[in-house]
Amino acid sequence: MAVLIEIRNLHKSFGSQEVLKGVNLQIEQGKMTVILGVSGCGKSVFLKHIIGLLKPDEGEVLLEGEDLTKATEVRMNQILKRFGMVFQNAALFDSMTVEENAAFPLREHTRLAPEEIHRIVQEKLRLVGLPKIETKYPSELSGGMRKRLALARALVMDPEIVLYDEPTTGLDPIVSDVIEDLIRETQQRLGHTGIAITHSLKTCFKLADQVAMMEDGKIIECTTPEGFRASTDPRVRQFLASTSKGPIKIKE
Amino acid sequence: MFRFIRYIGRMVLRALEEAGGIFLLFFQSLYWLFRPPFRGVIFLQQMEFIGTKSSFIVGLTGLFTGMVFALQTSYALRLFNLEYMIGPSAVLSLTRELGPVLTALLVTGRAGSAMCTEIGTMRVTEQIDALHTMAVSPVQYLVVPRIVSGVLMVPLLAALFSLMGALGGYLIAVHMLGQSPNVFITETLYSVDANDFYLGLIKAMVFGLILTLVSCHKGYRADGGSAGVGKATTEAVVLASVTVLISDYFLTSWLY
Repeated sequence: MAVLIEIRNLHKSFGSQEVLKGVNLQIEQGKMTVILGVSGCGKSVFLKHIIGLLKPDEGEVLLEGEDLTKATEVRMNQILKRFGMVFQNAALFDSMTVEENAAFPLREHTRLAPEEIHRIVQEKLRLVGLPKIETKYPSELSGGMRKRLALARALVMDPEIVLYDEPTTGLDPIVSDVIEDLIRETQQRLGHTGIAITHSLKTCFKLADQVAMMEDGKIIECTTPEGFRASTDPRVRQFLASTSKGPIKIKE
Repeated sequence: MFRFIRYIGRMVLRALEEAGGIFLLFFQSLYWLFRPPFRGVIFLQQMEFIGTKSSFIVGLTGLFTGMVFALQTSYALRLFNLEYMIGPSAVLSLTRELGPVLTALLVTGRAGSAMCTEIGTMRVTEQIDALHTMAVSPVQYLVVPRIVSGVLMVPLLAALFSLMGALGGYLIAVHMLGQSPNVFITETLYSVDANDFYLGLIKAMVFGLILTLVSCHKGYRADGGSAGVGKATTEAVVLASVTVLISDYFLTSWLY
C-alpha cells in the first residue's frame, strides 16, 4: 500500500520539556492508523504537527514528498483543504447553528449555490445520523451529537485525510461504541485516510488497520492490530494489561 | 537586591514579549487584509457591534461630559469675566481630547472586552484551531474585521461624542447660565477650526487601532480555560486603556 504521509525524526520541546523525541511514522493511504498512548505521552502534540497547528523544532512531515513544516501559510491553506479534523471537544463554532457549522468549510472554500450547500450538508448530516436539528445551536446538543456534528463538518469537503483527536473521550461506553462504528463505517465507505489518537484500547482495536504506540515522545511499536496484540515489548504488554506496574511510569 | 533586579528583568522581558506579539499581530493583519476572500458580512457585523451598538452610550456620555465641562469652567471663567469662553473651551477640549479619549475608553470597556472574551473563548475551546484546520486564517477571519471596524468606527463615535458634548455645553451655557445663544455659537465657531476636528479624528483612529489590536491580541493568546479568558479580558482592558492614554500624550505633542 502506498505511503501518503511520512513523519521523519520529529522533535518538539516546550521550554525545557522535550515532548517529541524523534518521531518516525508512515501513514498508509486509505487506511486507519491509530496512535495509542498514555495521557501526556505527546500524541496530541504529534497530531497538531501533522496538520500544521504546531511547528517542530526539528524533523519533517512529508505529504506525498512535500514537507508541510516548511510550507508558507498560503500554501498550507491549500494543503489543508485536503484535510478534515475532528477535535476532542468537537470545537464547534458556538455562535453558529448546526447547519451553519457543517456548511462552514463549503461556504468558505466553494462557490456553490446555497441550495447545493444545503443539499450536501443534509447528506452529511444524514450520513452521521443526525436527525432534523439544523437550527439548533451546539450548546443545545448532547456530547454524542456534538461528536457527530464535528464528524459531519470534517467530512463535508470530502477530505482525503481525516484526523481524529480522542474521538471517544468523554462519551459513555454505549455512545462511544456508536461513534466508533460511525467513524469506521464512514472511513470505509468514503475511503479516506484516517489518523486517530486515543488512549482507549477498545477504540483502538475497533478502528485500526495500523496501530502505532507512542511512549515518552517516540513511536515504540507500529504494526497491525494482531501484531500489536502479540507484541513482546514490555511497554506494550503493560498497556495491553492496563496495569500501573511496568516500565511506563506516569508523571503525576 | 538580586531578586529585585531579576524581577525588573522579568517585567521588561514580559513587556517586550507583549509588544512583540502585538506588532506581530498587526503585521499579520495587514498581510491578510489585502488577500481574498473578503468577507463583507463579517465586516458589517463588526461595524454594527463596535459602532452602531456603542452609539447610545457614547452619545449619552458625551452629552453629560459637555454639560459638566460647561458647568465647571463657568465657575473659573466667571472669576475673570470670561464667560463667553465657555463654548470655545468646551468644544475645543471635546474635539481635541475628551471626545477621542473618552470614546476610546468607553469602546474598550464595551466592545474591546467582549472581543477579547469571544476570541479567548474560541482559543481555549479549540475553535481557532478548528478554523486553521479548515484552511481559514484565524487572523483574517477574526482579527482583521475587528481592527478595520475599530479604525473606522471609533472616529465616528468620537465625532458623535463631541457633537453631543457641544450640545450639552450649549444647554448649560444658554439655558442654565443664561448666556445668549448667539455668543455661544459665534465664539465657538470663531475659536474652533476644522483642523481641531480632523486631528481629533486622527487620534480616534489610532485609538481604534490600539484598542482592537490589544483586545484581539490578548484574546488570541489566552490560555488556561475560563479563568484564563477572564484574566486575558482584564489585562486587555487595562493594557488598552493605559496604551490609549499614553499614546494620547505622544499624539498630542506630535500632532499639535
